[in-house]
Amino acid sequence: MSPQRLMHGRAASRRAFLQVGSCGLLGCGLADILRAESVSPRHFPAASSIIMVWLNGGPATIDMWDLKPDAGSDVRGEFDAIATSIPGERFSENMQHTSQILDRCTLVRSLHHNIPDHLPGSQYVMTGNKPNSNVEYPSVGSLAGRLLPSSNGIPAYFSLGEAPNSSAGFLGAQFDPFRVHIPQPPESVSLDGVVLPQGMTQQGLRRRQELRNVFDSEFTSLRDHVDIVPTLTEFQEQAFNILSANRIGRAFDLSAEPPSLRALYGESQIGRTVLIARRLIEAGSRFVTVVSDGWDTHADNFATLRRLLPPVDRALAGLIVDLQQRGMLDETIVVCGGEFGRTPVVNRSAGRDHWPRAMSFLLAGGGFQRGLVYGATDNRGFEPVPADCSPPALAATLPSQLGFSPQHAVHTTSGRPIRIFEEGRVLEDLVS
Amino acid sequence: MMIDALLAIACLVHSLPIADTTPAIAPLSTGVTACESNLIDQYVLGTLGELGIEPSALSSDTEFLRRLSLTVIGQLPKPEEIRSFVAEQRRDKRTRKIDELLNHDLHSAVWASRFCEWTGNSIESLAVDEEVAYQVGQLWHQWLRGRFARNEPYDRLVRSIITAQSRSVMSIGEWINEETAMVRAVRQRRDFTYADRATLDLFWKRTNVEDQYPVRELAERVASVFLGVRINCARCHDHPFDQWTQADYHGYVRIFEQVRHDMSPELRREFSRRLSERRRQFANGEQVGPPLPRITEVYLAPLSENDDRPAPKALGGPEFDVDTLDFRVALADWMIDEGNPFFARNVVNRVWAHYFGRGIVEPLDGLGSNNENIAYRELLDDLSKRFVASGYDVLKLELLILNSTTWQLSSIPNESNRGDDRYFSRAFVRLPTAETFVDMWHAATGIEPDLGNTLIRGLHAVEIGPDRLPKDRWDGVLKLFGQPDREETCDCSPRGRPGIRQTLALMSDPLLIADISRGRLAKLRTDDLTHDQTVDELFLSTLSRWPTGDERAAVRRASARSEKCDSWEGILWSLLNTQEFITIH
Repeated sequence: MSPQRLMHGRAASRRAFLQVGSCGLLGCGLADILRAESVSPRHFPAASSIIMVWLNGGPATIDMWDLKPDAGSDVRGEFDAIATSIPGERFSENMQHTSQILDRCTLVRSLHHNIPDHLPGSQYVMTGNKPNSNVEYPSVGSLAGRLLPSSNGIPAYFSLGEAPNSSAGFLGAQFDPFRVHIPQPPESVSLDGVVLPQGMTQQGLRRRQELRNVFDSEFTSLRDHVDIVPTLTEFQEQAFNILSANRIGRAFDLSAEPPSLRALYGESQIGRTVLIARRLIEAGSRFVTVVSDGWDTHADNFATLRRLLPPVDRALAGLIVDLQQRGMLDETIVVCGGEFGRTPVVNRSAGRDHWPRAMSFLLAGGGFQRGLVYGATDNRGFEPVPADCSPPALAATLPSQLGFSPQHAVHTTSGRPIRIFEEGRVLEDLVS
Repeated sequence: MMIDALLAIACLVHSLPIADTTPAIAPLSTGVTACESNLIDQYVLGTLGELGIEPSALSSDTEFLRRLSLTVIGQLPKPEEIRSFVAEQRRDKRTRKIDELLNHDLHSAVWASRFCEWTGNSIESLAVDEEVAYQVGQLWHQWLRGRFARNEPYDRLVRSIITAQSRSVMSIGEWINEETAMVRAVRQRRDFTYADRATLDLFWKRTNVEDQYPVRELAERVASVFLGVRINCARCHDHPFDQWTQADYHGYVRIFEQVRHDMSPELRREFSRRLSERRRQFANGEQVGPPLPRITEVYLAPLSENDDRPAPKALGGPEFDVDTLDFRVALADWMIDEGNPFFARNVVNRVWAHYFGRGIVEPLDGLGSNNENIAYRELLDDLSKRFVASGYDVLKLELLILNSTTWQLSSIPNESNRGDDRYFSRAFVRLPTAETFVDMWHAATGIEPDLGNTLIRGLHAVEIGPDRLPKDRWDGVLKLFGQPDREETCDCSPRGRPGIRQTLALMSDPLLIADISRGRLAKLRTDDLTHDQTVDELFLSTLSRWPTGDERAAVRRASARSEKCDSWEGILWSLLNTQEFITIH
C-alpha cells in the first residue's frame, strides 16, 4: 500500500481528523489540523515521508561529495575525483553510484554550524534547534511522527540503529522512534515487543483479545469518551492490528524482495538496512532513520573511508533509483549526512578531526530540486562561501515539504505551545 | 438532591481539624468526631451545585481501596486486604484505612520518589564519580524518605535542601572523616546513613553537559519545584505570557552565584596537610591507612567585589543586601514567609495533583502565569493558608484530601459530568507513575522483585532513588512507562500520557509474557484451589475486584477450549491487558 498522501490542499488531513480515533492516537489535535489548514498554499505538501541515512560520528564529506583536488597535499587527501552526471561537478572515486545519479539529487555543500562536539552537534542537526538546557527539542523524525498520521497500524517513526538525539524530547516518549537494531547475519533482527512473541499463535492472540474485550467491556463502556480511555482503546486496536497483520514483521523480511533488487542496494549491512527502511515507508511509516556507525575518523581516515564509503554509496543510489522506479521518489525525501564535517587539513595520524564549519548533505526526492548543487566551500574546504545553509534551515525545509511551516506550533506534554523551529527559515532555493 | 446526600456522607466520613497544632510525629487522628464538613467538599460540591454539574457517585469499596493504595503507597492492594476491607462493617473504615496506609512504610518512599523526580536526582547530572553515582542517587532517596517518614514540616525540609552546605556545623576535620567514610562505603556498596545529615548537599553536587557548574539550571529548578514558577523562558527573553522579565531572571539567578562545588580552600589545605602527614608516616616506615579518596564539598564563596550588576533579588520579592552571608538563606526566609504567594500553594497543588491526577493549576510550575480562569483558585488559597497554619504539615493535607468525598468520587461519569476535566466532579482515569507500574506488574504476576543492582535487590520500584538501572531489563520498562526526564528544570515531562509502545509491550514483549507464566501461575498450579477460587484470586490481584457473572462465564469458556495451563496464561494476559488494570481510576 502507499502512504496516505496529503496532496490536495488539506482535504486529506481533514479526513484524517474525521477519523477521530487515529488522530487522537497520533496526537494531531484539532488545533494542529486547523493550523495545518491555515498554512499558505505555498506549503501544500510535496512529500509524505522521509528516509534519513545518518552517518554517525561526523563524515568527512570533503572526501565524498566536496573534494578539493586542486588544494595542497595537506588538504587534498588520498582520493581521486571522478566526474558526475552533472558536468563540472566531481565526487570521490568511492562514490561511483551516487556520482551517476547526481542529476536526480540535491547536494548542499555549505551546511555549517559551530558545535564541534558529537552530542550537542548532532542534537543541533537532528532537531534543527540550537541545544538549550531548558527545552529538549524533538528530532525531525519525532516531529514528522507527531504531525502526520501513519497508516494501518505501522508506527510513524523508526530508527534502525541507535542515533543520538533521535528522540521526541518535549513531545513525549510516545513520539520516540521505534528503535530496532539490525545485526550482521546470521543473527536475525529482534522485533521483541512489536511482533507476536514465540509461542503465541494468531489464533491464540485473537482469543486473548476477545477475552480481554470481555473483561474491559464494562469498564470502558461506563467510561466511554472519558480521559485517556478513548486513546487506550485506540492503542489496543492498533496494537492488535500491528501484531495480527504482522506488518512490521513483514517489512523486516527481506526474503520478499527479489535478489536483483537486493543487489541494487548491495549485500551489505547498510544496503539491507536501507532496503528495510524503504519497505517500512511503503508499509506506512513516515520517517525512518538509518544509522551507520564508524565515521569519527580521527585516525586512518582514508583506509576507513575506503571500507565505509562504497556500501553507503551503493545503498543510497540503490534507494533513489528504486524509489523512482516505484513512483515513490516524488513523495519520499532521502537525506544523508552527519553531525559535522571533518578538518580539511589531514592530521598526523592520516585522520581528520571535527569540523562543523563546513559539511555536505545529500538529498533527493520529495520536491527537492533535482540536479541542484547548493552552496560551495572555499578552495581549501574551510568555510562555506555565500549561499550557506544552517542546520535550522535544512531541518525546517524537511517538515515544510511535508506541509508544515517552521512557525507551526506543537504542544509540549504539559500543554505549552512551542514553535517547531525557533530560527529555521525554509530554504526556498532547495525546493522546486 | 444528590449533592446534599454527598455532603451528608462527607460529614460522616471525616473530621479533620487541619489547623490544630498537634506535633507532627504524633499518631494520626482516627475515627469520626464531630460532624464538620470537609473544606474541599464545601468548595467543590458547592461549585458543582452552582454549575449544575452532578458529581459522580461515591466510589465503591474496591474502587476506593485500589485508588487509595496506588496513590498512597504506590502498590496494588493484596487480595486478602481487599477481602477484609470489603467485609469490614465499621462506618469509619475508609478513614481507618487512610490512616493505616499513610502510616505504611512505603508511603514515605512514594514521596521520596516524587521528590527525587522533582529535585532532579539524575545520574547524568550528579557530579560524583560514575562508579558511585548509582549508590549516591539512592542516598538522595533515603534522605528524603527519612524526612517524609517522620513527617518533617515541609518548610524545614525545603530549607535544608535549598540552604544546604556540605559541612553545615561540622569542623573541616570531622567533615572530611565523615565524607571519606561515605565515599568508601558507597564504593564498597555498603550501607551508609546519609539520611542523618542535616542537609541534602547532593542537590547542589551537579554538573551540566559542558562540565560547568549549572547555576542557572539550579536557580530554575528551585523556582519550578519549590515555588511552582517557571522562569526558564526569561533566560533569553522577557516571558511572553508571564510576569517575568530578564531583569527578574538575572537578579534571581544571582542568588545562587555564591554556591560552589569543588574543593574549598579550607578543604584543599586540610587535605594537603593530611597528605603530607601520610608521606611523613610513610617515610618513617609507619602504618598509613587506606588512600584518601577525592572528596568535594558544597560551600559558599563571596561574590566578586567589583560587580556592578543588579543585586540578588527574589522573584517578585525583595532585593537582598549584597553583604548577605548566604543569599539562599535570605531566599528561604522570603519563601517560607506566610505572605509568600507561591511557596505553600506550590506544594499544596503538587500534593493535590499526586492524588487527583492533575493539579488545580497546570502545569505544576504554572503558578506564576496568568491563571485567571482556573477553577478553585480560592480553594487553593484556602488550603494553602491552612497548610501554613498547620505548621506545613503534609500529612494533615493528605488526610484532608483523602477523606474528602470529592477525592472518593467514582470515575464513572454521568450525563452531566462526562465532559468535565477541570471541576473534579469525578475521579480522572489516568496512568500510574512508571515506578508504580513496575510494582503493580510484580504484584499482579507474582514475580519476585529483582531490580538488578545489589544495593536495591528486593526493593520495590518506588523505593529506588536513581533514574537509571544499569544493564537491567526494568530500566527500559521504566522509561517506556513514562519515567520523566529528571534533567529538565521544568514540569515539562509527560505525565500519565499513554503510548502505543506500552500497549504493544504488554501484549507481546517476550520478557513480560514470560513473567506471566513464571510468577503466580506457576504457584497456582500446585495450590489446591477450585476453579472459582483461582479466578477470584486472579481478578483480585490484578483488577482489585471480584469477577462479574459474565466474566466468570467467559473464563469458563476459555478454559474449556484449551489445555489448562495455556488457558490460565491467556486469562492472566487478558486481565493484565485491560484498561482497568493499567490505570488508576
